[in-house]
Amino acid sequence: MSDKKHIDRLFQEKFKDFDVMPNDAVWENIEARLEKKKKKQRIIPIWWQLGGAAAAIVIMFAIGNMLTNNTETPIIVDTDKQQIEDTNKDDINKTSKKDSLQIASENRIDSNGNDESSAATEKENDSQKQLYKSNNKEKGAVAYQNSTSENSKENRATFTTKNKDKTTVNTTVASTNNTKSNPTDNLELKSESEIKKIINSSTESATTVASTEKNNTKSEEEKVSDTQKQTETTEEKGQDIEEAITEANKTNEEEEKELRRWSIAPNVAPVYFNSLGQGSSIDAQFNDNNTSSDISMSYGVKGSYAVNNRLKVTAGINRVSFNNTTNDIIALSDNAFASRASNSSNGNLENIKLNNNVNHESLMLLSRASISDNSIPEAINTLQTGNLEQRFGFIEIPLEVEYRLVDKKLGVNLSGGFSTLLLNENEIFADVNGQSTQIGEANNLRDTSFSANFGVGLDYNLTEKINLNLEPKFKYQINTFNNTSGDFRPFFIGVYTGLSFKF
Amino acid sequence: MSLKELINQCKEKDAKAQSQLYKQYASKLFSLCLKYSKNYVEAEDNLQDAFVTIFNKIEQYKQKGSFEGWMKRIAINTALQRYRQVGVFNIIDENAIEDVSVEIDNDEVDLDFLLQIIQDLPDRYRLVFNLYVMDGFSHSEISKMLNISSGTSKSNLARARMILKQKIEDYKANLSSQSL
Repeated sequence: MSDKKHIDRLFQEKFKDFDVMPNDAVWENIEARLEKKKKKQRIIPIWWQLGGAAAAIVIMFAIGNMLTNNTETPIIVDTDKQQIEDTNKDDINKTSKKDSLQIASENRIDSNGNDESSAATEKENDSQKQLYKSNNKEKGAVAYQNSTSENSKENRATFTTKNKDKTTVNTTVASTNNTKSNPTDNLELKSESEIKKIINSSTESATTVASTEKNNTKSEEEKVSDTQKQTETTEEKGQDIEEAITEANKTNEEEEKELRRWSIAPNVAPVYFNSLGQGSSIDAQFNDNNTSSDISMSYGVKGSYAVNNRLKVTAGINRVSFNNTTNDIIALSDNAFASRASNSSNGNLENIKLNNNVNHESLMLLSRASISDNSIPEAINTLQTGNLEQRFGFIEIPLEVEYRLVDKKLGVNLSGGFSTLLLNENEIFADVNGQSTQIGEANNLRDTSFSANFGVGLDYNLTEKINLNLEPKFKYQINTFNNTSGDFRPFFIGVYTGLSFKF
Repeated sequence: MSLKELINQCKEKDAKAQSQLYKQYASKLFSLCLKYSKNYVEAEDNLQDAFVTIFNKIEQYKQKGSFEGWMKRIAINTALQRYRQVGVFNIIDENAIEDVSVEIDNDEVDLDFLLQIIQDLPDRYRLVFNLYVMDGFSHSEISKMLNISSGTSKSNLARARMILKQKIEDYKANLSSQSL
């Protein structure tokens, strides 16, 4: 005979080892649904792809730009050279004319002087000649320097055929310099022979002009000093020319650098929002709840102006959005329960302005921690805990100063500044019965707030005009929330990557 | 690999770990879903939903208490939510019934038959019976979970027991008449 047994015991015993393996299709379905979740997280690779495509277009554009620029630059170099040549020629001509005039005048003076004075003037003439020659040499050297500097400039140019053309031009320049200096030498030689002739003639007439000796010597002295002055001035002029040329070269170089003061850099950054302290921006009861944030994307454009080689001022505009999820929250939409509970405890949340279709009667949000305090744990334990997700976004206008620590192909720079944040997105979602539902918005987010920024950047020169940037940045939000509970100090971190184009 | 490691890998959304976790616990949770659902297909749906929730919320599991218990609660809640959404709870007659002790002969009864009669119970009777008898919740807990009074919970349980007893007895009578 079988003994009587309570029906509960029967079922409990029977189902104690009840184990049924579900169909394989169930796992496949679960896998498929998890896959969908993962696709959402592949936003970053998509951005990389888009960024890559954008970069490719920009690089093609830049190369095209460089080719068109190359046809222009040689012309500029040519005009420079011609100017230099012209000034050289002019200067040389002028100085040689002046010198020859001087010599001629001296010679005439000599013709009036006696033997001794003429001997003296001869010596002086010799010294003058040396000076003059040295001047000429200097000028020649200057000319060669010019040609060499021009050559070096041309070497930078990529077109070898034009290079050849220019070197021939240079050689002709050099040769014209030579030919120009040669005639002056010839003139000198001629003048020397003339001087001798004149001296000879003067010795013949020396006795006749003896009475005028003293006056003449005085005038000679004066004139010699004059000529010395003149030679000095010619020397100075020679130096002036050099200086002028070097200055011209310098200004050319400076202009080349000045051409790249401006740059523009489109950028994209994964950003991560968090708070330094434990606290909640929503309500005091969530202070101890764990919060988490997904990595979201920020994208925008930054323009910069280089004050000098090291210092840059940058400004830009970025779109940035965040989410901040408060975990372990129970959201109830059952009317009876919600109204009952909200009567007893704090149903209203401090900083949420609920939507019209969701009111405090029909919705209640509780932290799991606060419920366990109310000692009704077992029932609620079985309720699924959900999340409270706050989404907010800004138009960010950063204004920063960037200091370049390492100025090489791979550069390192430090940046600091602040951003103005203009609120443009503000939503709060809650998991109500397992479904994410928009319940309202935060009423404590300021329309305009600021952040203090600090970053360390790396950049790599792809070409003279294009840089690849990588810049992790820390941005501490200063007055984004106006009524937070606990120690809520929000910040965000972004790794800004992009290309910058100098122009 | 220890359970703790497995959970941590699941938190990092590691596909292999997820598959292993599923294999380890699918049968236990599926049998639970079978009891709480009205048929096999619905049980499969619940199992699916439960596992998706488990994998998505696994970072909320803080290594406090048994992991199996945590997963079971999610599975139970998934089953309950189905009826919350449907709004079945308010339809059933709320007449109170005295709590009678139902006893039955301890003969060999087929497990599949027992599962079948549980699934055939009206939705709320089935949920209350499972919560109280199989998973040890008190009437006051059940009343909060299902948003009913604890009196309703008690009467639902009594009705469920009566229905089950009747079916088992009919089944036995049927068997003995066949054997005769």
